[in-house]
Amino acid sequence: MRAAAVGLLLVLVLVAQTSLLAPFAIWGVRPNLTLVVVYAAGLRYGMSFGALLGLLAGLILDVVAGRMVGLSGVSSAVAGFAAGWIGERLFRGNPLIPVAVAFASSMLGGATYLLAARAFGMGFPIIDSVSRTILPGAWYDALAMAVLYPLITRLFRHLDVRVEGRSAKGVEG
Amino acid sequence: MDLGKWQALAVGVLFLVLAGLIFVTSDPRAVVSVPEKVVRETLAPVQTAFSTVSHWAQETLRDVSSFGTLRSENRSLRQQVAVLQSEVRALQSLERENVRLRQLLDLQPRLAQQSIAAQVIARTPNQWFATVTINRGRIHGLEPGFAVVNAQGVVGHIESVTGRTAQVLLLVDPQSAVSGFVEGSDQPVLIEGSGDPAGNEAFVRPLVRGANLEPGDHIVTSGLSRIFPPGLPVGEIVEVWDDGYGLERRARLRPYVDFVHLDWVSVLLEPPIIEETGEDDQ
Repeated sequence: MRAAAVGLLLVLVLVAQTSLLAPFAIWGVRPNLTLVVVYAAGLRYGMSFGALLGLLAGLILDVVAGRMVGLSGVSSAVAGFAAGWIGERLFRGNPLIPVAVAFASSMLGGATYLLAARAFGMGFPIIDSVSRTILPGAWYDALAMAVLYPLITRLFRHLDVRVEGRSAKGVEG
Repeated sequence: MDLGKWQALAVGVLFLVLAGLIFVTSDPRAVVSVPEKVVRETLAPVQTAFSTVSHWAQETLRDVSSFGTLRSENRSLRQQVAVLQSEVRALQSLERENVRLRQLLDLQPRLAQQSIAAQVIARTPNQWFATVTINRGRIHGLEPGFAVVNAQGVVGHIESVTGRTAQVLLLVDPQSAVSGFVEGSDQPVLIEGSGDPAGNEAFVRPLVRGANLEPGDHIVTSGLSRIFPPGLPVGEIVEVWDDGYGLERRARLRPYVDFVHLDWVSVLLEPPIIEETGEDDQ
């Protein structure tokens, strides 16, 4: 149930990201809402869940983009793992933590993508890519996280309550 | 083997599979796999709906923000209309002269190409590549390699198609290369995408030694690639520099097309055929 709901959320967010966010582009950069969901999940459920969800979300992004299929999967898995790893070590009650986690994870995921793409022969220039793509993207993801994290957390909490309720009923039955 | 070793083995195999997949899909492909086809076709109707809402909101915001300047813009437009009307009359006279000269040279007129309008319904979900999805596909007659343009100039070309959608590789994508000419001088150049997320620049590489590129030069398609007809506007050169050894000249081009606010495009349905019936054919 939880997996299906999170999967559905990812697809909805992906559609919004590809078709709804064009007017919100700053210097051509749009927030990666799919990754924002991954970071929030990593913070709540830990680094393994974050990495797995990141891999899945990245693969969906790759299939839609149609180029270098698997690379976003790897970089998003690294970013999701990082979000979970940081989240397990920091106090999550502080509202600034999710924002900082989104920024750091996006930077790490972006750097992973850049280095791996170069290893596979893509000639992305390092300085231009960091200054025009990775850094603005990380800022934008952090901003999106600040706005969306309370909503996503509420949704996760709702899902957890339903999942626990079903488990309890199963034990009683 | 304990659980930890199985997990490590599974992760290793997964990474090998992903590495193979990345390698196979690293270049633009005309052939779309079944999962990609299913995902694109399934998402297309929802993306069309979302995209329509997004375009409407964008237009409304633009209208509201420009309301204050409408009066002065109207006055200025009236003046421009007067100037343009006189230019149109001059152009009509030039066209008549052009027809007469073509008849004298025994050249067939350029074939008017059929085109189809398409709405941009989605953009690539990552920032690294510059592609868009349009709501026309194979059932509308689209094929990979068809040119995509809009009122401002060259947008890109069709990379791959499914039944009802097509993916367009934009001019500014890092893997895009279009052949062009410096307008008015016939110096051949290659226009390469820079991957700039804002779509504000591409690079120009001259294809002949000693080419004289200058800021302000206008670049048009050459028609040599057999994707774009000749003479389509591409952009304006804004900066020229030599490489570190003085062996090669490069230039930065600002495309005419606003890639960030791309909403409607035209797909040219036939490859450019310009036949000249000269003495050889007679």
